[in-house]
Amino acid sequence: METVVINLLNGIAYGMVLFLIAAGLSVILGLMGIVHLAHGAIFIAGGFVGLTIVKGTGSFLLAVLVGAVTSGLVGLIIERGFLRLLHKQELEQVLVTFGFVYIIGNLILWIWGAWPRAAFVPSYFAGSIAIMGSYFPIHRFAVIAIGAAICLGLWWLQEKTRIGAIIRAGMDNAEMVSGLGINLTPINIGTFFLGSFIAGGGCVIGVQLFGSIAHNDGVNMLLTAIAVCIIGGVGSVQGALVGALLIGIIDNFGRVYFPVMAPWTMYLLLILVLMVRPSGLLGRKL
Amino acid sequence: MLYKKYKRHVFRFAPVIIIGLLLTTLPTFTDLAIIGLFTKILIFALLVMSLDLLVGYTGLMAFGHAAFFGIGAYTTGILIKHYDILSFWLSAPAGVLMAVLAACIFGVIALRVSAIYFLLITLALGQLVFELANTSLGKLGALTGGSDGLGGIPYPEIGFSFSFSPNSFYYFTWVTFIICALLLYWITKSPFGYSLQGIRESEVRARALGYNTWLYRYIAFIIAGLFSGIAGVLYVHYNGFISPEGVGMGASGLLWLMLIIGGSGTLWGGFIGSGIILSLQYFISGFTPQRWPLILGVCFVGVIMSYRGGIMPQLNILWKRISHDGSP
Amino acid sequence: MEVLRVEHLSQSFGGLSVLEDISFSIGASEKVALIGPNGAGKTTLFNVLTGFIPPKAGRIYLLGHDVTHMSSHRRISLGLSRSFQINTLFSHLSLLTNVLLAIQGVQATRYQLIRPITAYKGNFDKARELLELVDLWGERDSPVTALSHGQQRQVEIILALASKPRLLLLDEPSAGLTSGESGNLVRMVRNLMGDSTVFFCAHDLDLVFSLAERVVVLYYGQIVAQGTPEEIQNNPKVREIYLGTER
Repeated sequence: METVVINLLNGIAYGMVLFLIAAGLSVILGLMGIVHLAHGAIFIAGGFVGLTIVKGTGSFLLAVLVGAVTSGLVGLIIERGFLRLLHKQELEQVLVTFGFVYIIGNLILWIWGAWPRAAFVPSYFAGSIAIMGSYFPIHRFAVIAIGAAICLGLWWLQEKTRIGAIIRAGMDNAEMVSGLGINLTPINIGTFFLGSFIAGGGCVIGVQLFGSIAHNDGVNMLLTAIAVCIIGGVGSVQGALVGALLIGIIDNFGRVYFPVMAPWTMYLLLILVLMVRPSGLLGRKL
Repeated sequence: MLYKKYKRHVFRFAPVIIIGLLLTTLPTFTDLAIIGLFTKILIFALLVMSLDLLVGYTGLMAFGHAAFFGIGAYTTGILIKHYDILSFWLSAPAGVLMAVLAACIFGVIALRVSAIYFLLITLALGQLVFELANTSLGKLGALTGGSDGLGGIPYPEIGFSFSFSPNSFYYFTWVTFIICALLLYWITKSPFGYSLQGIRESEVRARALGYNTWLYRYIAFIIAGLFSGIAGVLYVHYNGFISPEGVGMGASGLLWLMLIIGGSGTLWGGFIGSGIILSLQYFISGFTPQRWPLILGVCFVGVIMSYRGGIMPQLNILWKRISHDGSP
Repeated sequence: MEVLRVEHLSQSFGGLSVLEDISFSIGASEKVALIGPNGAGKTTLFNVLTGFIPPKAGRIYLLGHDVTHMSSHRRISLGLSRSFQINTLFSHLSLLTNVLLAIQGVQATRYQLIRPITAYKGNFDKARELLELVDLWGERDSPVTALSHGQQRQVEIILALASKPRLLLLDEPSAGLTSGESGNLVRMVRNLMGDSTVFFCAHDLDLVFSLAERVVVLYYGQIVAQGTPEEIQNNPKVREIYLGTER
């Protein structure tokens, strides 16, 4: 029984990290119609920068911040420097982000080399708590707590603020929103930056769950984030959360009880959802 | 009078004929390395042309196309290496058949959704195949060799006491390419091919004229899978080795770059794109093999940002100007 | 012989009822017009008839077949055809290709994979016939988007006629046309209609009264009147809700 609880908690922790990367992808896709394929690479980039900061200064907090900001800036560069110029050309936008997958991945390889970077756990998150006879790392509790806090914050932004209302309206009908005199451009920029920021920070926070990160992990994370968006539904915080937790938990249980099938539990879930409910569990019809 | 009538046709096909002649006589004036390069170019040209059928003609943004290539390559490789099925006449059709089967299954899944979701799903399905190829667990891992890949695949065993050499395998690839390219060309010029284009332009209109648009897309998907599988089988014999890198998102991205540079919707764009990118890779890898993905990415972004038509449409326009003899 | 019979057809979006208990029928060779103010549900009815939207309730019979839940393309092969209110052409393809695809849409050869499309001379001749009717044969190689709006509108009608349909649905055929172009279109449709069965909706009352033998009036999703054009013109209810809105 303890193992089930521990696995559940592990799954939730993993799910929280997935949420942090998928939330940005989902809102960017829902609001701007951009399939941001480089999002996974941006996620990993934040992690690498963060781990380097930690190695240099020892401050985990600084690492998270700098990692998040770096990711945010990279995302901003891609959006302002390139995607903005391809306004309304959705396929071209996707392809450009695709090109950046190669660029960012190879830059990471160039700067940090091919060896994976080991994760870092700050002293205040070290150790484990005893739960029903088994041990669960405090750090993972922290991940769950931080993830939940960010999720709550984003949900509040989405549902309770004017900006959130504008974003939701923009997802349904961007032209109408502009027609009402609301300038969507700073909202778009902000959304893009925020999504990348949270992803980058999330990587530094959650890297302990992966043990290490390597330069080519970006693709894997991207695919998982895509799966989260499709399963949970695009365009809402709650959709990203549901999808992320579902994948996190199922993937974890899959690894423990059916290790041979492990890589594919996510894909099987994805295919199942697609066949039964293409718009996702909580999705808006795209 | 007759001359004038045929002059246009001759002009239209002249570049094809010239390139055809060059490629046919290639081994007589180049060395083995270049022969190898062109063998690879032809294989990838076929692969990109099959992608073009989906993208350029049907308007389907298929992002996981390398998966069928990989399935064809791995199936043939596994049969040869682990099951001692050495005869080309057995291993090759099996490889192609598996690719077609995968296309049949993936098509049903992916075509349930449209546009952007289709892109994501084909990407995910492509990665699924990557995971299958990359896993080192279980029987599958033992067969595929996991992340180390599958190697030691010799040239095809076609019997008749014939053994291939790089030169003769080049001709084998060349002939296969000609046959496949011709088939693809005929398909694009057929009623089916034009119907695909109609569906691409306006699905609503096509349905309102009596076209079962889902079925057309499905058939196109399977045809593309078929030719990808053929390319995969050729590749595993050419390269002797196949690894998961040849199957996943990176590989599919490479195909898209070739398609963009050569020009989609033109079929021959696939050949040009393949030629340019692989030649570039050949020369650059001589200097900085580690930076190749970076250069590739920069090329990708650069081409998209500046100009999306690709080279083929520009060449077409240029050629029309040169061969224009006053008649419309 | 009944070409179309609609029984108790209903459709709603969300909570909004768009079509309510619609029942009518159209006999062979009849020319029937559907009129009603904006938002009455005319295009929705057309979408349901052609199979782009399934109805919430009711049945549709085309030439005796129950097509209520049949897919669009199968209804077309039964003999239905439709033009759209907004030009829905194969944008980047040539005019000739557009017409060929329309002719081919009900033929088995549309699945032919290997023989080139140029091998089907019969279709080319048919295309030529159709295009010459509207004087556009000379433009056959132009991309269809290079034509003027009025010409594209004519093409829109031509495409619907190409399959020699048993029942032709025309959705606002003169939408967006100047009165001159509209007159041309009326003439063209009248010449081409022959004795096919036509069901069209229009705002242009000249079009209605010069083409229709029978008029059906739709108002907020319900049929409020049916009859000959004269009867409808004199119907006080109709005057009040539609014809009488000019103050």
